[in-house]
Amino acid sequence: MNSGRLSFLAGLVGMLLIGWVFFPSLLYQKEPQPLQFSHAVHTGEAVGMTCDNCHTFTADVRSMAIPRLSNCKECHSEVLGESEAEKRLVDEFVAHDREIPWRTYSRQPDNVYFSHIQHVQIAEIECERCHGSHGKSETLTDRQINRISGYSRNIEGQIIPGLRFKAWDRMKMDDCSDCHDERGASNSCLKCHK
Amino acid sequence: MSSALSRRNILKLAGGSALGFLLSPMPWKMLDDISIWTQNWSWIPKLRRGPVTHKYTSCTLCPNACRVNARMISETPVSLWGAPDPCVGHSYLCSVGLAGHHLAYHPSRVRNAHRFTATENGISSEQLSVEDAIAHIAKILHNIHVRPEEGEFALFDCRPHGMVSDIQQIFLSHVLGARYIVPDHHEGRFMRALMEMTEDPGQSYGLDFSRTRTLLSFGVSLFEGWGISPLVVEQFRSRREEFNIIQIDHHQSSSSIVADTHIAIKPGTEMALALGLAHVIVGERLYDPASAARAVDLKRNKPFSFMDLTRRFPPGRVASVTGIPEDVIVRTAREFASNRPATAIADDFAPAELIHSVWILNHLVGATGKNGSVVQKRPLPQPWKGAHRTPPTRLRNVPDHSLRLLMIDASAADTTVSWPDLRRKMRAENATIVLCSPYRPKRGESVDYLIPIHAPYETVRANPSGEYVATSAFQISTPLWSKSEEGCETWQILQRVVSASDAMTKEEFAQLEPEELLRLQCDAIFNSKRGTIHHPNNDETIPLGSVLSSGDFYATLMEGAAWSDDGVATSTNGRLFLMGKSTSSAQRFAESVLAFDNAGIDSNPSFPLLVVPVGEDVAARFGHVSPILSKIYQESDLKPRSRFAYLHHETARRFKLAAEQRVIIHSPHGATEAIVRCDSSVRPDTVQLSVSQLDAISPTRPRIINSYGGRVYTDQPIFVRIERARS
Repeated sequence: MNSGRLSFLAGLVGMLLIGWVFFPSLLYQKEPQPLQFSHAVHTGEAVGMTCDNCHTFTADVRSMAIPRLSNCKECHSEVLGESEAEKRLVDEFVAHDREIPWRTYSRQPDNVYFSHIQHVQIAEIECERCHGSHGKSETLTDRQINRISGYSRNIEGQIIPGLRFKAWDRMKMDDCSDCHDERGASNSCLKCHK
Repeated sequence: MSSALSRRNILKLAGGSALGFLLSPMPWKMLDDISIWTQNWSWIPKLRRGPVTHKYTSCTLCPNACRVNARMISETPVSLWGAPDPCVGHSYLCSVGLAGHHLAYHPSRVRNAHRFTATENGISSEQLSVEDAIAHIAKILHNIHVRPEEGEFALFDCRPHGMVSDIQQIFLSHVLGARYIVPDHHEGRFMRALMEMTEDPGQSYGLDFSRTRTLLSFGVSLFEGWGISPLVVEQFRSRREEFNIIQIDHHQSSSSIVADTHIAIKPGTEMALALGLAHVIVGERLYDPASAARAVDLKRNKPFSFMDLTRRFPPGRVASVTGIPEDVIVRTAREFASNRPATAIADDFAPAELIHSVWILNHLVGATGKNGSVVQKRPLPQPWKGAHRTPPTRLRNVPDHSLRLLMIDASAADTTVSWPDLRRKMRAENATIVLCSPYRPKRGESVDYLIPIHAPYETVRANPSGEYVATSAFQISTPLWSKSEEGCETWQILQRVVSASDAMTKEEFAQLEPEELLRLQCDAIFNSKRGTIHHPNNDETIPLGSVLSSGDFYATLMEGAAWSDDGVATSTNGRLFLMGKSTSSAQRFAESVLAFDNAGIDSNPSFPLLVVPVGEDVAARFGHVSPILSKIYQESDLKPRSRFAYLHHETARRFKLAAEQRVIIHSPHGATEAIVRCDSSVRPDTVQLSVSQLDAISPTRPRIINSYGGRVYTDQPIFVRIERARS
């Protein structure tokens, strides 16, 4: 292979590497959760909880609440098991009655009105439709915030070019309108942009 | 190695990098993110975060006084929608009302007074303080007071309705020589026409559709406007199966699509149809016997009597005039007379003779004074009953070139001022027009001073119910924002001007604040001990008698509650006058019918197409609506379409015209350009034009208008011909 071709390939591959591998890690600022938590343990057979046991509707019924410490204290007033996270939960938060500063993955932009109660109770959409297997995850991933737009990666999509292979890969406007089309719901602008 | 660093290799490296860059997500993702970033710059207003609360108030944009549920975030309204309403069951906001909270942020909003001066280069504006503007205007008023020959002072109340109009009339009665001017046509005209045909002194009427089985609508915007709309929408929602709507419309309107039956009529022939229906009802004795006994002139058989006039409109002739098949006319008359309670309605801005004919139909089927149709109601208790008032003068009755100083109260969103008509009333020299409005005047609105007043939902406003509801009601439009310092109400400006000019003969009302006026109105209602209070918070109704004091009543209304009067036992003994109570009104009606009977509305072969004026751009042209209503505009047919001429496909073919073709529309009075649009909802042999296109081709100005419903009436039919424009 001549040197000209090698130079071209070097530039091509180098830039592809930067664009596909390094750029995403530069673009998103990772923010670790304050405490590790296993959804799988809580929703597994041993405990058998469902999503809405902890994620209840907020007062305005628009959002599903991030559990408060009082929810955790119902079972975790004392250390259960031997995990490091469990010990930290009790020592750092329960013992001092301090709320856990969880970081929200899927907060919608301000210009969108999204009501969980309409989707969960009236349309009877399963949580997995938008949130995938989050309810069965063993650990909490870092929240990734786009340094330019300020949006969460869970909204923009985990796959960097914004492709969607599964329903829960993205939560962008196209995904909302596709689902509305599928279910015959209105796609009027004012439905979401109130 | 030396070859690897050659210029050619560097260029190839750059080329590969450029291709790699384009094949990576980097540029595309960056474009997306940067576009979002630009939406979140620090100077761009952001939605506040904070507790979500709900506040109940009422809409003042039109006289309907719809109940409003405002969703507030951090004490800022972010969305409005209808709330339970004691009078109509539930209020459903129109497209303009849904965005009523945007009006405070309207781009035309003004915070300071302005003086406008005509210069060689156009109009120049100078900002000045409200105090200075008032001082200037007071000086002019003082001069009028000293030298009455300079002309008159007048207030033009764009929406004469309720307590504020009362106050203005009483106040002006203490200003020497002051006039109180009202528009020639305004909301409630249809209901008020009934007073000319009944003998129930002291009573007014409202529409009760709660049991109506047949609604015969002569071109009323049932679903896309205001006025009667809230009453119809609620019944349509709750009793769809038994609420039969017959819509008579010259084009396929939103109402005609939703109605059970749409009768397509030749524009301008609605009165002939109404009298044709009356002809069938009388001829087949389908009328209500009790009503027939009350109608003193039903059986009179003299020339120009009711029988004589209806005899001129047999179904066969009406069919040829209106373009409606004879059997449809007969069937409609039978259905209307047999499927009762039945009510016929017409638009407030329809020709007087059509309104009169429609009331005749109501009298014949026994609708007047019947529950489920047209019911009697008591007027709202008045705090200033018996006070001396300046009588209202219709604009057309004001002598031309007589006004030296005119103040315009443009606080209503449905303000429809005909500026050329208004200008004609002003003196040729030294005339001054003062506009009291939250917004800058539009092009063509030549005013001399602008004084800012509050936008909707910025201050407390008395909000009595509209003319159509079955019982009187009263509510307070409470502000959604904390009181703004800039602006006040027109009547307060009027007080300050008059007080500063020495033109006032009595200091009554000079110092009253809006809240004090509201308290006086609440006292009057409370002392009547009538009616009930409806709390939207819990959807509960309690009798007024259970409220301890007038202060408690006022506080309850300020929380968003509404008072509504008790129903009245409707008297069925009063006499009815089909031709009109007074000789003059009977004569006027007979003359109009005979004029139509003689002339009809025949086209001239040179001008074969009849113009159907529509008011798509009325809201944008006359009122102020939220500029971000574009989506709603499209969905409700309100989007301005002033460049186009809408033709039925058959008509376009007949005149060898194609869609998107530029044409010139000629009438005997002028010509205008337009672009052809083919639309099957337009009636053949007519052309649908927007109201702004009429200026060039109409001999008179259009009679406006059901403000946001899009209806326009002209004093006489306009016929045109269409030619292709030369390129």
